[in-house]
Amino acid sequence: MLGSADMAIRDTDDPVLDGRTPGNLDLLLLGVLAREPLHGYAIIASLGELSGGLFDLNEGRVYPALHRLERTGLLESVWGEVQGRRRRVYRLTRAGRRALDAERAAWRRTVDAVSAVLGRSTARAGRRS
Amino acid sequence: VTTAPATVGEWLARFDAALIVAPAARRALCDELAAHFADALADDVTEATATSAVGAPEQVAEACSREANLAALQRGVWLLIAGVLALGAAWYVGILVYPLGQWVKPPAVLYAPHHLGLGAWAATGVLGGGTLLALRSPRLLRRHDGLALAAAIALVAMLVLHVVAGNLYVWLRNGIVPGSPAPEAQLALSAAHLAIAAVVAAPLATAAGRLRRVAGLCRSS
Repeated sequence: MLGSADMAIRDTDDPVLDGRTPGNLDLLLLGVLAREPLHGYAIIASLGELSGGLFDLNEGRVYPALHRLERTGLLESVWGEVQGRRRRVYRLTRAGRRALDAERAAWRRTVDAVSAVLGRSTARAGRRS
Repeated sequence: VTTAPATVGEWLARFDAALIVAPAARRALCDELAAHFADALADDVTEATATSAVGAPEQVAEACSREANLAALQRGVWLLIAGVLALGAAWYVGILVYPLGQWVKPPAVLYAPHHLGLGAWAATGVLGGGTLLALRSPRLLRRHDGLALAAAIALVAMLVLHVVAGNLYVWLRNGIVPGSPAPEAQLALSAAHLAIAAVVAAPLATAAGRLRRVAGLCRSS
């Protein structure tokens, strides 16, 4: 799935950010906005920076995802002047923060489970050889 | 068309053309995407790179329209429920005002259709309002969009039936019951009745229209 560390993950062909599993993109957006309120372009830039350029996002999917999160009450937005331009700035609501905490915990459980399975497989392969 | 154009101007024009949303939502979406491209160009990204990173404008417009319409629908459902409650409140006001007139004791034969009509309207209002309230959840709406649409149409139909049949009933009854309002007074009452119904029907019809549009979007997605 990951290939090499230099290979960027495109959300069009990878299950991590695939449109069929929008939950992961939502989790990333909530994670970025937990740091500070940001507008759309800054969110995309911040995601790129924080992931070290690993996530090559389809930027067109970010805006509907932000609107979905706002509709479900996890984000709220205000129009304001940022660096001389009128922009829509998103921030996490209290419900969004709670959802992020729950998603983080679920994500850690998934990572732990996958790591445990991969660890065991590696150990078995090592014993067989 | 599924490819992104090479210029921001063309991208925004195609995005605008592909949006199916209310005017206020259209302005907000176009402003937001225009700000995105302005930021990208300020970061020395070329127009072609910026547009291709966002993707085909029609696809983005479709996804944005769906979200904007679902959000509008959620507000619309509250309008609809408020309309039903306002109508219910108007009925209670009417019941309080009735005794002030001279038609407190009509012949008993006239009670049945009156009460039946009131009961049917109240039951439809409660059932329809309850159904739509339950369907505020987008997940449920995607599964039962047809039910939500049927409930909204039933409410509009019942409102029309109530106003038309109710006014006919009152006019017929006035010919039987002594001391009923004069035709001029009844005409004024009927006109007020129709005006209230029109005020209530507007959000109901708007909500039904949104439900129909969102149901179509949900099916096509």
